[in-house]
Amino acid sequence: MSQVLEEFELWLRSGFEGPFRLGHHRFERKDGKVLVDGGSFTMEEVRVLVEMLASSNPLLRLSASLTILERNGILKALLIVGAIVLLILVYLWVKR
Amino acid sequence: MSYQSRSSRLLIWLVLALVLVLPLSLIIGLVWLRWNILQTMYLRKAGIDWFKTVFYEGCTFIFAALFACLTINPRPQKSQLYDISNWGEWLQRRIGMGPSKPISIRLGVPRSLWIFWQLLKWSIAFAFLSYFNGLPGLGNLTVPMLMVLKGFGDWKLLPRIVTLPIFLPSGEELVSLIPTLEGQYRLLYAIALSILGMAALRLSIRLVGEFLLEQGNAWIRDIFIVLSLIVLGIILGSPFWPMDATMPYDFALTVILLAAFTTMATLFHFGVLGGNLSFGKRRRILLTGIALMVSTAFLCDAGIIAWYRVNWNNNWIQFEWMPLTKNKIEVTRWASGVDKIAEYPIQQAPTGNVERLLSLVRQWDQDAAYTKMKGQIGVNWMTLSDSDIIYYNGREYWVAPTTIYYPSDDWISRHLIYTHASRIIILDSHSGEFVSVKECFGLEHEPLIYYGEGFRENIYTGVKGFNEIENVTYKGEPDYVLSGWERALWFLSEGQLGFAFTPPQESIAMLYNRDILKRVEDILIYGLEVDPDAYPVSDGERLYYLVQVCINYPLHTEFSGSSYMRFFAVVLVDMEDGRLQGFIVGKPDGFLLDFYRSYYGSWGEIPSWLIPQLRYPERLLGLPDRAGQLDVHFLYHVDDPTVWRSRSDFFERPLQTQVHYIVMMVGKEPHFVGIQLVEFEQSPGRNLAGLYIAYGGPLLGKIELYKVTGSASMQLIGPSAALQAVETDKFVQQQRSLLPNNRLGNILLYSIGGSLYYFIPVYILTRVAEAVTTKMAFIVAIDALTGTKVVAGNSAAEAYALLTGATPTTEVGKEGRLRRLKEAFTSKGIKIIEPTALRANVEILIANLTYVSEEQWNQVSLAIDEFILNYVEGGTLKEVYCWYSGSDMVCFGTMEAERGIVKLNYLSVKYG
Repeated sequence: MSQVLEEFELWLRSGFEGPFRLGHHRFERKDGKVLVDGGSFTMEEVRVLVEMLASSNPLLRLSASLTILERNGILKALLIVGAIVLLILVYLWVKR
Repeated sequence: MSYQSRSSRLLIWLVLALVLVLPLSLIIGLVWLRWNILQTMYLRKAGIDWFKTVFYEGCTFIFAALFACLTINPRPQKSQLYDISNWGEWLQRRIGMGPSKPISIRLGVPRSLWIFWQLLKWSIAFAFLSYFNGLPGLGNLTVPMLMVLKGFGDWKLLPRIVTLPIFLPSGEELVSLIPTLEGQYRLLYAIALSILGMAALRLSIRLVGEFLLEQGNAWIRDIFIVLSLIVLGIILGSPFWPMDATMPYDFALTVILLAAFTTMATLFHFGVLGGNLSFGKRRRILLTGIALMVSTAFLCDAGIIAWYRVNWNNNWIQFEWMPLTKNKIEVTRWASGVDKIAEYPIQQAPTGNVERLLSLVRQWDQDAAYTKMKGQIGVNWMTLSDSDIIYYNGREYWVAPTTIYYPSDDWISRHLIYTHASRIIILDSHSGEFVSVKECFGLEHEPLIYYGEGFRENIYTGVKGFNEIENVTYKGEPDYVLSGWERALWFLSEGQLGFAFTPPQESIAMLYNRDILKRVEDILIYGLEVDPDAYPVSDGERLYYLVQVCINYPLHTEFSGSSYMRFFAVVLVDMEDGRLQGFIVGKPDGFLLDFYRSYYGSWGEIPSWLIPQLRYPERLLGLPDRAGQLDVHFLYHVDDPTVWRSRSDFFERPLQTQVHYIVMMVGKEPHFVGIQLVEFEQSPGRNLAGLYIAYGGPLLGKIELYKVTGSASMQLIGPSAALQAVETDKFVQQQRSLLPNNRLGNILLYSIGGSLYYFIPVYILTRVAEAVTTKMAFIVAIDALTGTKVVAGNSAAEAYALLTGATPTTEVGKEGRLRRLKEAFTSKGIKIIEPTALRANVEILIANLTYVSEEQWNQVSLAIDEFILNYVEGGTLKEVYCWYSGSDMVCFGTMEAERGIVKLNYLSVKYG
């Protein structure tokens, strides 16, 4: 187990109230769940997530980041805004 | 409940009924009455079923009824607007004002309320759609519907239309597809777009509710469905887009976008996205795969488009000119009706006999003629409506029928006394001399004008106790007779309670819709418009206003830079009794002209007497403030890609000119034509680029462009430069400085003896007592080739003679012409007798001649010789009778008796 995972496991088991930081992600405890950047995860999920984030495989790290974005709602907002912007751009292009 | 409260309730209901029902009944009654008046009037005076015509043979109501169904909620007892009321509860809960319990779900709207609401929506939509005959943003839809019903367009071509963005069409193919594109496809497109639009609207309302009520990811799914519907709408409109080399890829871009949005909607619907996450590998692969596929397709397509764009300029001909611009030119020329304009070098501009041509030069322009004619009215209750240029019996005139000018503005004056106008002022456009109606049109008397330009008031005729001005009575058939409740309702709406309830007589005859342009416009459907410049014509017995009807139908394909423009028909409005007769002018085209021709089936072919008087509509050719066919041709006559790109052969209408109608000699024949001079676009030298000639009369519809070629030796000055030459010429400047209130007239270009000359008259305004009149001071001739030779003369002939050094034609004068006419007989040994009276049983007019200028002499002389041969030399007595009709007309005749019947054969000659 890498050092990061050990630290995270320690933070998870301890009663420490402060947030845990991994890269630019912020982990907080709330009502028996863990909020990662505002998105709620179970203890099981968050362990897998930290594993993925700590992985040397960039695709796994990207996947983990997307999962966080999806959970905290940012992905939805990005998808909607992106879709609308894309629609406007394509419309302007074809009607040029 | 007490008696008092019951009676007060009853009173409230009564008041409500009075306030709502009575005005509503009056409005409905008035609308019905107006429709009935129009229906009766047009059936009686035009042979047209007005209701059937303006409501598109009932299609208006069918279309409105069907499309209004889209407003009905397809789910019984459901209403999205009703559901919106839930949102308020949600907001209250969110801000802590309401109960914190979950929001109760409403099951539906009460049945009766639901039915009422759907009916109300349908009725409002029905009224809206009936009024507009179309949908906002989609334009009129009843015409495409009727076109389809009447068999225009071809359903079998729809698959080809759908694939246009993938397999790019040629210009010729596009032209052949346009009837189907404007008929079948546009109708289907409108239906599809309406359904998509309504679905998108309903989904949008629903998704707001879903979002506020926190119903999972349903709102995101609905957003993507709405976006998919929008993209689908865009894709359906693709056959109307302009199509260059990247079109198939642009089209693919929209299809990829549609696929992406529908996929997103599906993923959200099934919870693959946005649900409670698992970290399953299969799910990740599925999502990554979809994302990769869509992104790759999108990026590849965008990459191809980018490649085209990077290489655009070095492949401009293949990428833009061939697929787009060339086709656009072809389609636009066809649509605007300029594809048959023939082009010739300016050296070949039509010309004819010099003397004859100079005697036809239009020395009087519209403003000058109008000012001069104003002084001829003689009464305070008439004014000139407009001065129109006409061509009748080989001569060109300015004609100004009068209209009513109300010196007293009360209701009786406007509706019962000032019912008509009665003067028509006519001026010779060359000589500026006044001509009587009898001389010009051969009419025995000037007609009483009950229908004309600017006749905005309806009038009532034959009303007891009231006399029309000039103590005349309308003799024609009324447009409508008001009696009983109709009369009461009508005059009530006019605010005339006396005429409504205690009228001087039971039935009151009415002349309705007397403004000729409105009278014609009220029977026209979408895509047809009138030329506001109506002009008088005559069949020798009656006088009519001729209203020109043109097709101006917007085409929806962006391959066309113009609407569909054609000269469709003329409608004659009898000045005296308002009868309408329509005649089709346009030739069959397999499209809109044939459609309108079939729609106005009662309109016939042009009668032969009318043909010489026809001219090509000014509005169709184009005005400075309203583009027409010529404006399209100014750009779209270009065929060469380099010339197109460089704009080096584009024309523009000089500010100082517009379409002028003149008589032009083409060989031996005079022709009534509209001419338009053009200069090169933004040319600093203001050179003449060309001369458009739009023929009237028997050659109606023929338009020619006489173009200045590139040769430096043939550069001609344009009208702006000609004007400048006049304004800077020393002699002209001196002359003008001596003339107060002078102004320059129209700039006209004539081809005389193979060269081109501008003629610009100079007028002075003079004040006689309180009246203002105008005189032509002199006319300036300018050689268009150099622009340096500027000469002024008293007439066009004199100016031309001074300019070219030719001997001016000697005008022999009125007395000289009469003497010459008599000599034509006496020189052949025929005695002329001027009797005090002639009595014959039968009078036969052999020829009606005009001899007011010398170039007409040959024609007159030939006619006299023929008359002598047939009617004098065959007789026993070598003599003719000579008598006068008015001060300018002389008649020569012989008498013969045959079986007791005395016949007078004569010819009349207008000599002054």
